[in-house]
Amino acid sequence: MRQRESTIALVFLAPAFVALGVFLFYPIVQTAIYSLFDLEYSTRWREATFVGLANYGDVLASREFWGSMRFTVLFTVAAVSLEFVLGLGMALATFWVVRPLRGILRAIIVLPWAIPGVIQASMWRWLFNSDVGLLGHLAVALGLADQPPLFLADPTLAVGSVILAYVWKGASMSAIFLMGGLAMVPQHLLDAAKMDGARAWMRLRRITLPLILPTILVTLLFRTLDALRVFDIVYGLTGGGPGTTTDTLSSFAYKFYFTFVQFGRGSAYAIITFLLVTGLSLLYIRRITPHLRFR
Amino acid sequence: MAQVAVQQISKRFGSVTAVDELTWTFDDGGLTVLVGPSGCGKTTLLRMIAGLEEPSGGQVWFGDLDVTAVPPWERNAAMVFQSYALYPHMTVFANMAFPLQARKLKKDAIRRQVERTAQALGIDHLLRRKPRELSGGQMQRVALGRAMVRQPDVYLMDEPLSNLDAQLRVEMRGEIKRLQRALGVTTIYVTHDQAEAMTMADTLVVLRDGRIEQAGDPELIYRQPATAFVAGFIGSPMINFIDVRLDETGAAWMLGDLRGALPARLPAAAAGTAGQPLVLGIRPEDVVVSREAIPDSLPARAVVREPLGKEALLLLAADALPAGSLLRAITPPDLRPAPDETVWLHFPPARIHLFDPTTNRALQSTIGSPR
Amino acid sequence: MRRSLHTLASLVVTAVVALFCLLPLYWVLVTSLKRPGTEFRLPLRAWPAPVSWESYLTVLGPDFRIQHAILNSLLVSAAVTAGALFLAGLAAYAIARLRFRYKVQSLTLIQMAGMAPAIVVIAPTFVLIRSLGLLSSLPGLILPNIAYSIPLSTWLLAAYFANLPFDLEDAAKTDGWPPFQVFLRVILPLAAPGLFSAGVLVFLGSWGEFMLALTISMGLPEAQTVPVAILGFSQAFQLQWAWVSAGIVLSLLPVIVLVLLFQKTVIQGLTAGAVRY
Repeated sequence: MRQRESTIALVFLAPAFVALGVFLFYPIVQTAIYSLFDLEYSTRWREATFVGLANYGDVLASREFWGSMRFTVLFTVAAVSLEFVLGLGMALATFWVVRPLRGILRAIIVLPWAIPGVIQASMWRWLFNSDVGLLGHLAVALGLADQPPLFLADPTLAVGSVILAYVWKGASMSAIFLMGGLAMVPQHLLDAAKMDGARAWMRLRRITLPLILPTILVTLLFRTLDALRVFDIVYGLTGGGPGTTTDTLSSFAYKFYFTFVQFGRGSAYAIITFLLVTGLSLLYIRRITPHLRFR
Repeated sequence: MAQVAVQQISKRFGSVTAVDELTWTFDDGGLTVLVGPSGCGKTTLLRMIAGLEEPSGGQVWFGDLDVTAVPPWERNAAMVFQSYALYPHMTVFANMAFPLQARKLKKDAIRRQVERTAQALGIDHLLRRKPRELSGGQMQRVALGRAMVRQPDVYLMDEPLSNLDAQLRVEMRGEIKRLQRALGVTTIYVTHDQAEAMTMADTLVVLRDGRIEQAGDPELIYRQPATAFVAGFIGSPMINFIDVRLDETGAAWMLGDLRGALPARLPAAAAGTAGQPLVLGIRPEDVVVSREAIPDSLPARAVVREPLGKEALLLLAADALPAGSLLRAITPPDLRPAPDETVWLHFPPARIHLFDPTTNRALQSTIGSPR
Repeated sequence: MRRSLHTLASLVVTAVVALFCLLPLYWVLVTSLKRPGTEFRLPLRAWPAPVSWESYLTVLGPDFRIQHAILNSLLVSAAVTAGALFLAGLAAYAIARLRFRYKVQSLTLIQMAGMAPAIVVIAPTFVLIRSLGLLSSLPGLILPNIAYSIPLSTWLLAAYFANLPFDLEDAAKTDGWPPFQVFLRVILPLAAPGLFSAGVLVFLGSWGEFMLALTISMGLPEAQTVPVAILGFSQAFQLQWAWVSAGIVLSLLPVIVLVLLFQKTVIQGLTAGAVRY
């Protein structure tokens, strides 16, 4: 019987694994192979010169790599922290508001998540427009600046702008995950805490947050992963600019591929990104696994 | 010490009225049990007293203070939940320390008080454990301990024993009763188990559809139920209800050929007009079963006999009764009628209850019924 | 807290959140209703006067045909959803309900595949699609996206299947059904809610997929999905923001409708996997 079930399982799993194999595993391996060759304008690696790790050397020595690395890390830390706090606030709000508003609030919160990143980018480009962008005029109206700031042209401001645009959608995502976790906090425990004399802040700090710790950790994991890989917003909002100040690992690697058309070096870039992201995730997963209660 | 009272208190959920303008003052220092079938509003009432539900109307009083708008964390009431509601991520010690931390007591004071309470309940050896490592009975005690540790004015208990197995439940009943006596704190206890209610209550409040059906001393309620509902709900095995009529004289009831005297405590005029239908109630333990014919008795056959050790439960069918309806009678263990044997059932007048079939109220003077 | 104070505070909180989440969308809507050419006029108004539908006509008109991109996106997302649910459904079923040796490893492998950043697969995928002659075609977009959607949907469906009562297969087997039929007739109907959740998520996810769409479409409108088309607009028409905004509004309509209708499903689906812990 077990033999038979194993066979069936194999049959059921095969199609999915074939799809993954063709479009995920094979390409990863192939990219790794590209990275070992001197490929420009072409991907025919069998006819190209084998250069071993020379591409990697070039990449790691380049200023742009470290720039994009630094920006990616900075971006990830800032964006994830910000969106987590905002997302937690929104998630808690959905449980706190009076019943009729709950559905409306949830619908509002879910909306930013559904909007494709690159469309958002266009949206934000208009909002950040230095002549008639809404945000510029708001800044002036609030007394934060004399003229609408150059959100996308000024290097420092551009960093902030990209982060803001990303967080707008990210807070929504974090909120959704956290809402799920909060829903699992049993009401009777909160009732007991109320009877025990705990006010709202104490209930949040001592009961709610500790109980959703697994959800928090998983949320942070997913959001960090997403932030490290970010591409759409950057491509659509600033194209990595001004210059390369807002280039992330993914966006700069893409330039290597399709702007500079250097497949070898681009692949090295991509593999480095891949190792970084995967490595960090594995480390993170190992670190948080003891805190997760598996059913 | 606070005397808890509710005044015209109501709770509506949409079109459903869970509690309907209920007024009651609870025994100061005594154990009052709220009992009734599911949906009668007992838990809702308890939660309103706790502050976990906001009343749709009416007030809650702790002593002279109107606490209706006061949030639960400011009322000095402690609650024991059916699920125990122990914080799973904290140790037993931390669970019990939590209410004291909410009151911002100092660490040493907290430790002393927790240890003292834990010792009193016999759980001091469990202080380092987490709730998932405890048995049902142990969790129960921790829940009690958490309620006791800060010496509240009122204890509220929401079916705390429902999740325990039968034997443990009986044991804990006695323990809670003893504890309550020793502490002398007003306690309001909710249960759907009428046996539990009877054994534990100083005062019993029977609820139905959001209203008080009858309230007062448990034994009095048992002996003199004010309505057919109370008579049927309180007492196990359940009371027998028989449709009878008043005879021509108006001074006796009749069932088939059987004539029975009215109870002495019932004024003759109160019974009603001749031929009027009534509902007669008689508890199984009050039915006299005889193997020989006796005066004023009904012939019947034992259909089922359930031996209960110290006594037996007989299910009896009689020609005078509608087909399929059976009477319950408790008999001494040595009475074993044969399946076809005719036995004779006598209903002592002092033990019968008569109810008006339309209002379901008892005809004898109503005791303890507030409406 | 008193009921009235609570209600007031709730309204304030909702207004603040609405401001944060909806202001950008509102502004795009306002811009789309401005007369083209007047987008750069100051002062900024909360509502355009006069309201002009001209941009919408332009954007739907023969020069841009945004409806074409929307149609493409609908087709692609629908096909991806069907394909992904089918493949992921089978895989998730095997992992959740069948007994075999490498269960945990299979799931882990599938999930690790989901962690790969798009950049590390894009180049060979491009080459592969090109060699299959599927560049600038919808199938070229559909096939890889099915694969990309498998990790998330497998995870969700596995969690869902795992929660179904365990006696079902045994009952069906004793009735004599072969395994694939058991899956088809017994499990699948019961898993409908889970499939629906996963389906909505896959649909929305593939709708927003960008890097592949950008690369494969090669700038040709026949194969553009909505994100690529909109980006193209905004880059080609740097100053005609009314048009771009109208395009954005139209392209967001299907998504917004979907989300508002299925908001509860979406939340449940996204959190089912994460919250399994």
